Amino acid sequence: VKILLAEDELAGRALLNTQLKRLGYETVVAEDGRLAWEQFEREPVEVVITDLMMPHMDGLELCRRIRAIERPPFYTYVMMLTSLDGKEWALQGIAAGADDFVTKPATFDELVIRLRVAEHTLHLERGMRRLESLLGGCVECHRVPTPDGRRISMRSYLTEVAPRDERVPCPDCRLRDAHVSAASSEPCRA
Amino acid sequence: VETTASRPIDYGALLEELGGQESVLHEMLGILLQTTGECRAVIRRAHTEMDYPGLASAAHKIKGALVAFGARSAAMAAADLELQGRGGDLVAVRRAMARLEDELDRLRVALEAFVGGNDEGGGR
Repeated sequence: VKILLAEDELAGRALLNTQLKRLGYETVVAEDGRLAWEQFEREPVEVVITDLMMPHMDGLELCRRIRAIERPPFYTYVMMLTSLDGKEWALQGIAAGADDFVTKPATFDELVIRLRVAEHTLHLERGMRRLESLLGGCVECHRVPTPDGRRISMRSYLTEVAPRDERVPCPDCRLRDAHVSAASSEPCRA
Repeated sequence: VETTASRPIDYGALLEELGGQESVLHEMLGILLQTTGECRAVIRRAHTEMDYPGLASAAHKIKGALVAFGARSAAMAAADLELQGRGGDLVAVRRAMARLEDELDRLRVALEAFVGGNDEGGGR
């Protein structure tokens, strides 16, 4: 996973970049929001870590622009960082489309945990795209066809059309369960 | 006598964050020294010109660097200056400015000693 790191403050950027590299991530750094957006337009990435307050373009606007892309090639997970206190900023970040909001300083351990959540989310999003493909989803708008001829988003499909969880054990599991059941019902040899 | 607890930065914790690589720690602290020096100049200029929004913005920026490196005491002073800068109270700004200057002096001396290899306490 490649990470775009947008942070105007040199020391914090260098420290975070070093930590991300230590975790094995490939990084691209940008010194403000506008440069980050230009970089993202040239080369979209799956994870963006952005400061909130930056010159030329703040993290909120950067996030809004990423979310406004009509047909993104993949989902981009946006983690917003700030040293501003208060949940109001966090709410603004989430309203702008951020997936996570972290108050500085993010320790190395916290970064590991947050990025694990990011990778898990990206994994689910990739799975969703594959499911869209299996269901005949549109390559551009990603909507999938319903049995009654409509086209709806995958999320709507999962709640409206997909059946409830009616899974049953497969033959292998049925056989295994039968063995377990038989073993537990054997009479005691004592 | 300066103890580990009274040091402006916990080098040991920072070294741990950096995976124990001392060369990287030195490099990072050198960058912090450079950044805080630059931000300090901007803060002083804004203070002289009574540009309080500019002062608050510069204080916010230096606070980010200080927080990232765990320089808690200096970060709190920067946070106070940011707050007072937004409030625009001349007396409160002057007081917060003096506090930050003191903290940054302490930090600069400690960083220069560490980066220059003169930190006799070892710092870690």
